[in-house]
Amino acid sequence: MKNITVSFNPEWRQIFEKKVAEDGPWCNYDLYKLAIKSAKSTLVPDFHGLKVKEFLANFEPLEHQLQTAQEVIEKMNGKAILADEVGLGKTIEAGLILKEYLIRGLVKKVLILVPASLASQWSQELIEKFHIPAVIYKKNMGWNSYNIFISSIDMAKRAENMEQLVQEEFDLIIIDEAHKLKNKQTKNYELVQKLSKKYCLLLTATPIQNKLEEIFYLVSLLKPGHLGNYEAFMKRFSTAKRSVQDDHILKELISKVMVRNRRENTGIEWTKRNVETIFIEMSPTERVLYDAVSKFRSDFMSTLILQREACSSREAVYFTLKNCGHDGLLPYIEQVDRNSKAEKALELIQKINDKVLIFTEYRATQLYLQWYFKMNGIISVPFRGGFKRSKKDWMQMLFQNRAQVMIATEAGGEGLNLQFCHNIINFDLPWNPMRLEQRIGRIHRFGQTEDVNIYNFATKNTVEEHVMRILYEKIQLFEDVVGELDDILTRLEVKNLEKHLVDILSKSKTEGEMRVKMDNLTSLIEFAKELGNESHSHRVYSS
Amino acid sequence: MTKRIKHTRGISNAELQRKKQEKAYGFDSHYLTKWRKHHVQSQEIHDFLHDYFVLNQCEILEKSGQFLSVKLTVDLDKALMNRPFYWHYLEKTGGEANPSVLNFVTDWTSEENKKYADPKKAKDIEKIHFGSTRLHQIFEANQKVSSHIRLYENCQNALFPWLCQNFIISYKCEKLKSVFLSVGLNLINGNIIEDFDSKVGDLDLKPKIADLSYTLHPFITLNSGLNRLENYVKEKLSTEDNGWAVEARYRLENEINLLNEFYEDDLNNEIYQKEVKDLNDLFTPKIDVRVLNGGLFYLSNSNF
Repeated sequence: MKNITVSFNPEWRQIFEKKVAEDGPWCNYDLYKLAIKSAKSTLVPDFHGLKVKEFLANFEPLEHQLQTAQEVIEKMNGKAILADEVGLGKTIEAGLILKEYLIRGLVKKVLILVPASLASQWSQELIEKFHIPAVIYKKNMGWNSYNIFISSIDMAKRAENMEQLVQEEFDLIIIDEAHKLKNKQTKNYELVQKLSKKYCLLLTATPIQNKLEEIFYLVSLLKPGHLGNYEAFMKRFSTAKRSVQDDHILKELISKVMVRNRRENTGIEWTKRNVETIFIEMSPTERVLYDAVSKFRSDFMSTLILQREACSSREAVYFTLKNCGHDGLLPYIEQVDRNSKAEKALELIQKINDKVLIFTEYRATQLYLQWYFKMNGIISVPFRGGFKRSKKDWMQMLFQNRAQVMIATEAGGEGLNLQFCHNIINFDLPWNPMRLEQRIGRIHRFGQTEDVNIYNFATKNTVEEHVMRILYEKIQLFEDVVGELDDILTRLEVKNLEKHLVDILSKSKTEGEMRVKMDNLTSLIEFAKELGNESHSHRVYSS
Repeated sequence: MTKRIKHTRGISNAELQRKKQEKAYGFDSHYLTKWRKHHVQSQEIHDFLHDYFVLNQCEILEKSGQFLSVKLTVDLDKALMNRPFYWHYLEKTGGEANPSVLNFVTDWTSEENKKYADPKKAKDIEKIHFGSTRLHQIFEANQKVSSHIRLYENCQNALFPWLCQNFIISYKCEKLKSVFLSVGLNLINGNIIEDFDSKVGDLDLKPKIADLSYTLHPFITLNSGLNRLENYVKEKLSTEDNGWAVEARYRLENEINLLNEFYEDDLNNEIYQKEVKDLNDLFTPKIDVRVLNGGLFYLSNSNF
């Protein structure tokens, strides 16, 4: 075995020589034998396989999680994008990989970058499931005071921290919600690029949100050169020029650094999703407000935003206008005497007579709904992304034990586990379907034992109805789990679906023009979807 | 009404619930076998802990099923409890030492020990299993104090001097495997044997030499003996299959090629230099040999 460095540790010999010279002291034979026994028990006699399985007492990982961990370690050399669909346990996969490396002694120093709101959840899960003590970084702790740190990316990229971090030699870096790194121009990207990293895991449910470049930048963080350099990559793979063969090559290349488990491939029997769209007629006073904001023109805000808000609640409109110092529309707001959507929601909640999770995009609507339900004898708790972890836990507990309804805003989506609830009302819809999938993922994840009911509200004859008809009805995004959508969008090279929609809705001069454009978009998406179905028998990641 | 129907079918509500859960969590049929394996393993750990604390002269306060309560000695408290200030303070003030009591449960699934499963009710009880930090801390503390030994076979013969070393050999690239190798060298005739630890396992060995036996004087000095053992290991490693290292080098080469392609005309770039270093650190194959423990064995056998 030439050219392999073999190193012996010299300490044992030094101490031995000293003990011989001084005639002892020598150790106890039974303890000596115990030491041999314990050392043998921690050996890893094979490069392959997962030793970690013997080390878990508190929970049993699922088959696809173990497979993923093994694939990442053995085939991807510990550098991978973990891109499972929401709710399949990316954190657990990362934990398995981390633990395996710790057991094998390949990893000592670890940095885990997560959104601030998820830090304590990560540390809790690592200690409870994996017995890995990870410390949440606090100001001025010094980055070499512990071996395993959890930190928010915002904390880490501060100048004083970044300087120190770049000097540290990390063995493993884990980044949760890694889609925040897709833009090369950002400080986030710069930080991760500069960190020294032997092994690296990027976790994201949405590796491609809008553009093909995003996956290029993610992969290049992990393995620069794997997709070539930027110019060569775009030249070859941008949709316009991409041949079918290139398409396969691209998939092949990506599958070498990315694992993406889909629900249907996990072998877990998922409970069903029942989707019901409920169209709601505006009351005459609400219609007056909607028409008024539709005519409203301002340099500072788009009409579309106000229209969407008017579909949610008059409070939402009021809040935005107040912030901008406009009061011309105030009379229209004041004359609204009821909220048709809220009435429908109340009726539905009373009929369901079970836990209900309501999502709205607007904080003003959230507050209003809480008040409105209380007036009608229904207890609800609010939930927002900005809550501290302790408050989030508390709200989650209140919802489980005391309140019938939880009202969450968009930002509350990440890091909520509510398997005990089986009903979701989407009070207003996000225009990015991936975000909708994240909402549903809060309750439709493993551990859910019942079928899940999803109620989508849309007000008739408004922008909301247009979007609903396109995104959610025609292309049936609910029935097919949205997981495929990122492929579709990439294939389409629809740069930014949300922006596209805004363009159509705000720039069309007539109703007719708008309808034509919308129909075009719909058929395009449908076309891409069909293409996708054809090539989809071939999984996106290698099997 | 529904309840009664369920009963006549012989399926209770609880069982239905369990089945539903199994379905949702996707338990496989091996679940029970795995559980049994866990049970055997936890008994072993329990025995290990018991032996360890008894050998270290700790008082066993309670031992039942897989539950163990021990009062540490001062030495073990210092080794395991990480409270140097307390001990420093005691030494300064001359107060009375009060070493900690530790409680361990190694199987909390059995009927008898179920009460320890809830962390709130069993606050001061540590759940120990193969992955727990405490167990590995004990492993380490024990290995630290049992690294050098000298033993004599309890018999009435001339005793041959043997030098023994137990190695942990780690083969390392971006993956790792580790093996145990126990080697003994006869310091008179130069014979080297493997599996030394198990070959002497059945002998009656004592720290003091028996009254009527005596040791033979070694021809090989300790220094030379240690060199011989080191060379023996190196020689052995050099004849092993090195496919793993060749593959690792191949992977390294590939990675560096990709990197060169990415940075093309910018090879002086600082980030490029760093990436090259990281890749080399990660993939370059190496072998670490650590002596776990070993020492002098005086045995009536000159060969095995």
